[in-house]
Amino acid sequence: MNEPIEDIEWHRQTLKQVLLRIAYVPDEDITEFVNLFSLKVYPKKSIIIAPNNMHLKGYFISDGLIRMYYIKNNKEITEDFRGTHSFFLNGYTQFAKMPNFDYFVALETTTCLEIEWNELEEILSKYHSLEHLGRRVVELHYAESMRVSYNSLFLSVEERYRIFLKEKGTLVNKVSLKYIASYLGISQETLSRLRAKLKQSIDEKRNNRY
Amino acid sequence: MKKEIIGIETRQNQLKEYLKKISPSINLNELDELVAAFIPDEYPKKYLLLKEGDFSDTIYFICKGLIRNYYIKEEKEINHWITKENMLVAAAYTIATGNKNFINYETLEDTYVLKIKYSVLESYYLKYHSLEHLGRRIVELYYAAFMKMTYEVLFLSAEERYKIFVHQHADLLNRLPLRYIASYLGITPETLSRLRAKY
Repeated sequence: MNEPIEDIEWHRQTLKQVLLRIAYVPDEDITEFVNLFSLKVYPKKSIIIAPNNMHLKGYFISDGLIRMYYIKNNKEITEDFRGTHSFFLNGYTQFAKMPNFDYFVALETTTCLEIEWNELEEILSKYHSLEHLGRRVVELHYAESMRVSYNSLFLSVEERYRIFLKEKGTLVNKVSLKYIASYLGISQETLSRLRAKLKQSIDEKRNNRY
Repeated sequence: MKKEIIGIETRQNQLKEYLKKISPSINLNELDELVAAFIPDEYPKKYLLLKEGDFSDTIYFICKGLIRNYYIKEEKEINHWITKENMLVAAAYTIATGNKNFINYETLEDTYVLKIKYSVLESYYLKYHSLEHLGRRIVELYYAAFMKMTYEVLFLSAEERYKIFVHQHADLLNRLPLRYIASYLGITPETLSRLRAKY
């Protein structure tokens, strides 16, 4: 396994590139912004955010993978996974102003850039360009939450698994099957059957071609 | 329907008060300019404002009236949420992603609104920093409401959700058909009657 990169400048440049894909921000403003982030490396299995966490920060995963889950009736339910170059925050406390009930856990060694929320608010009020970027980021995350919710309302487990493979397929080999099953709301046995079925249909297609 | 029931000035003042509450630091001249860009409109009871499958990017501010939103699952209408005065209604998912809308929005009373296209709204966000800030606050507010609803559905019983509903929307109990409240809570009208007798 690769050692995490310790040079914070390298990570800040990565963050800059990812942000500039979302909205245009003048170089001076974005440089001042990314310089507010500090570097933290979370070992595999460590908890990044626990329930009832009141310390509000914005996080960027420069390299790594996290799982978000909550516990209901003594069972862990996986809400989502976030991989390299994605953002996360404690949304329930941050926006809904209620104590969060979910955990954010590193599934592998995860390198994050983090910013204190009050510092983020301050610099967003200073530069219109960053305020615009901030609005775009919140809109995109809101849309993503709605999409996950609509998918679970309207789509079958098989359709949701296909979407998972398409969008987060690179995670499949890294994430334990039990977490994927709990993300889809099915048992591990059902997931295994689903995987076998999809594999069979892929094999059949391949055989038909030759 | 009579337009005079709520004049445009009353509607604009209502919208200004609502937006000032969301972003107290807003520049008032810029706010005036934004509010002037909204267009008044009115719809009779039972009008389908936004339809499943549409790509509408209009945002409505409800000055007077009531709207339910619902989706259809296995040929059954499921009530998702109710919007009343001083709230915004939009196909937020469609606006943010460009994908087709899944939710129907229907008026339950004669409804008086101010409306604006998202592209026009966004042009004001881009023009003024204080309006861009307002825009972020609005999204955060509706994102928060979405998260609260998700939490309530996940962890609270129908009885607890009924108590929250009564606490937050006591005025709606007499305005809404009971079957809509029952469908929102995910219970039968009979169970709702028992809950009503209890509280």
